[in-house]
Amino acid sequence: MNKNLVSLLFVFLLGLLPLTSQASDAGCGLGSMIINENTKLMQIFAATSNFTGGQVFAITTGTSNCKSQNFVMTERAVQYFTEVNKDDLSREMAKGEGEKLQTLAALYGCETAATQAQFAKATQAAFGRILPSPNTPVADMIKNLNSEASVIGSCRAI
Amino acid sequence: MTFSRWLGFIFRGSVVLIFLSDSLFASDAQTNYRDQIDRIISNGSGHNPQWLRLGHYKPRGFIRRIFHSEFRSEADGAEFFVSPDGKNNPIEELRATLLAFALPLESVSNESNHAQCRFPARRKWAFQNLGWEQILRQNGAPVLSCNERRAWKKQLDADGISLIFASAYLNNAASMFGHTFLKFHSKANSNGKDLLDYGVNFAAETGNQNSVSYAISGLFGFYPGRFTMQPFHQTLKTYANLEGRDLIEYRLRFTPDELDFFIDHLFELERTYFDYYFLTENCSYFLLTALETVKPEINLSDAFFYHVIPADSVRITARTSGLVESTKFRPSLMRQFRSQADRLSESDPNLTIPLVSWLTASTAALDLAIDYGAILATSSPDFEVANHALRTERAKRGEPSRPIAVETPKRPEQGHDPGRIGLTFERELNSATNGRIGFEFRFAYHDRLSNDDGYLKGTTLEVLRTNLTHELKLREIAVLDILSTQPRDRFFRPISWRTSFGIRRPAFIDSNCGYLGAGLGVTYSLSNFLWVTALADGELLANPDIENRVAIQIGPRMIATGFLNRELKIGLEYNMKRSLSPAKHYDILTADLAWAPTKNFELRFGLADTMVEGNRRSEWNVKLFQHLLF
Repeated sequence: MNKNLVSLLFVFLLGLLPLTSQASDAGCGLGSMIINENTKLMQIFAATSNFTGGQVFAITTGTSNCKSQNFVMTERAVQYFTEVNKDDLSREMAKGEGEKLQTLAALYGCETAATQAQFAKATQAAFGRILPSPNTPVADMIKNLNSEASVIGSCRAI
Repeated sequence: MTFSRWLGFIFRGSVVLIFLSDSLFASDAQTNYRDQIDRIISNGSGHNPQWLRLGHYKPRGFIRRIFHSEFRSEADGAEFFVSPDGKNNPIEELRATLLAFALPLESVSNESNHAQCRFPARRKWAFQNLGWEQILRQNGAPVLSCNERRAWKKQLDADGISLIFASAYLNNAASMFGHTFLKFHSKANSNGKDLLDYGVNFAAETGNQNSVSYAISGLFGFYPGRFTMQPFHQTLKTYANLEGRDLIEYRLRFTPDELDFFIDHLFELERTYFDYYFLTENCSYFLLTALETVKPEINLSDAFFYHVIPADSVRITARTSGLVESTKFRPSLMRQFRSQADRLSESDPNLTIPLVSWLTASTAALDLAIDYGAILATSSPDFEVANHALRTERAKRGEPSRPIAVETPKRPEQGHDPGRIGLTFERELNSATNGRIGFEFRFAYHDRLSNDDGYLKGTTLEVLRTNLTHELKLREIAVLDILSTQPRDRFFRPISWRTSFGIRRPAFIDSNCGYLGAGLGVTYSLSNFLWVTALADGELLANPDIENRVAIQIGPRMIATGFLNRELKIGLEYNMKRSLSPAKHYDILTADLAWAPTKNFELRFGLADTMVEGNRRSEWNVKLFQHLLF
């Protein structure tokens, strides 16, 4: 079989996917951009090709203002993590349990399982104040989180 | 490679040439270096296996071998080479690298730009294996400490490495190939914080383009592929949770020295790019070639085929003795939801859309609704408000949810191998004619009747399935054959579909035709053991012997799959083909019983009934299949 023909047919099939890949600088973190791009077709194409559209980090040149030498800056770690995982965090806070919530607790300094559980309990109780509306921006979410004494104090509570 | 990159290449090459030829060296030392290098090269070090791997050199094609040297590097970025001829000549590259190591520190603007710090893995190899450190010291050249790189490594703080496989995405047969990337384990995160570890991904940099040029560029290597690093939780977000893919971590057995060497080598690779060929030189391939640099004794990427498919690169890694230390399974949100829903839906049959109707449900059901809403939200923004209401309600009830226990599925390497060879025998019923023997060859990957351990249940994805007669005449080449069936239920309504193209002989004409077929429909699970699929199906046939050269045939296609147990499956298929053009109508009915007594061996018994405008032909067949990794 003619190789070019195969390629052309393949291209034809892929060409059927009307992709919209809009890469905008998402500021700190990629989270919002990935979600925007996550149409069904984009998923299929990404899964098939293992391409990533748009912003890609090089190892030493952090293109995002939360990174230095491609590492997330310690003082921005909470912001970065929350931005990427906002929806999962909101879900886990509501349920009072989860791996991402545990990690956030650790970023706040809760190192033990007991303090992490305490942190989860505190964020569950304060859920309505941390995420007052469906589209609370990440910056507000973090500000609200930081103003909850029970959350901040949970790492020291035990 | 674009024109500007060529210009850059030539420019940098000239700069290096000027550097090396001018009087930066004291002449004695220079002569000494050249003598030593001549000695090293005459010992064959320019073709040392580890040197070749560090430069990502591969033997060149047959024709090119006649004109130039034998090797060519797969790296395409000029910064990766010290010699202007480095891409094509590993010996010259070694010579230039060793000389560049000997340059005085004043020759560069800062320490990090010195070759010793730009190529730390090469340096380590040259120091340990060629005695180059001693030679440098004897001639008064500096041995640099490369502080910036050191600090960087200290921050990475790696004490282990995993190869990570993102497995099949539900209802997307093509993603059965999966995706692979690497993760560094950090000591600081060992205490349950491994989401904060760093992942290393190899991916094409595509920028913004429309789909057609996207695909063409991907196929023909116009995109630069680069190794990039980002926090693991971010990679997880990109490849796993949203797409509903499970992750398997294969922790690799690396000594601290090997790990250090590998990080050094990644450091070298960040400066370059590789032309990314979606079908050949892709993520899976380059991760393997990078891993190989560390362990000269292992060979992961040399086989012709399997490095292309991520799931196969995982298979070969897992199979390489002593390479994998342990595995860890990380279920996707979809799998967590499924395992929870199966248990809960029996007791609470009212769970359905709209989501808000779950607000008054039990806390366990509310937890389920929250996961369901999160999955729905990945493909539509319409669920934000409902999700927030559910979460607010859940938070008010207090009490943490219990973590969800998920059954761990089989890993790719525990399933059958993707390649397949077969011997077939078929004979007409009620006929005096002799039976026919045939041969089958399939490059990859799985069909729905094979044991689906490590694959996606109910899915066919076959690449280059070729059938030959006993005289080795072509009966069929299916270049690609995909059937994706996922049952619809009250939670999700996936679409089932198929597509295939290639060359075969349709029932109504005695000649090979090119074909392109597709179908769209639905699947229902009558029980866990029986799935029924109905597709609206069509096929385009092309052949000079057909009237008008092209025929289009449409009609329903019904598929039933019985999953009796892991080893035993039954398939039934009926396809009505009605021609929209002068070609003949026909109907096909097939029944198959597949039995896989061992992991890679399979036996099939089949019946096929073809009716071409009233002329019926029935035959039975037996097929012996052996799965293997090419």
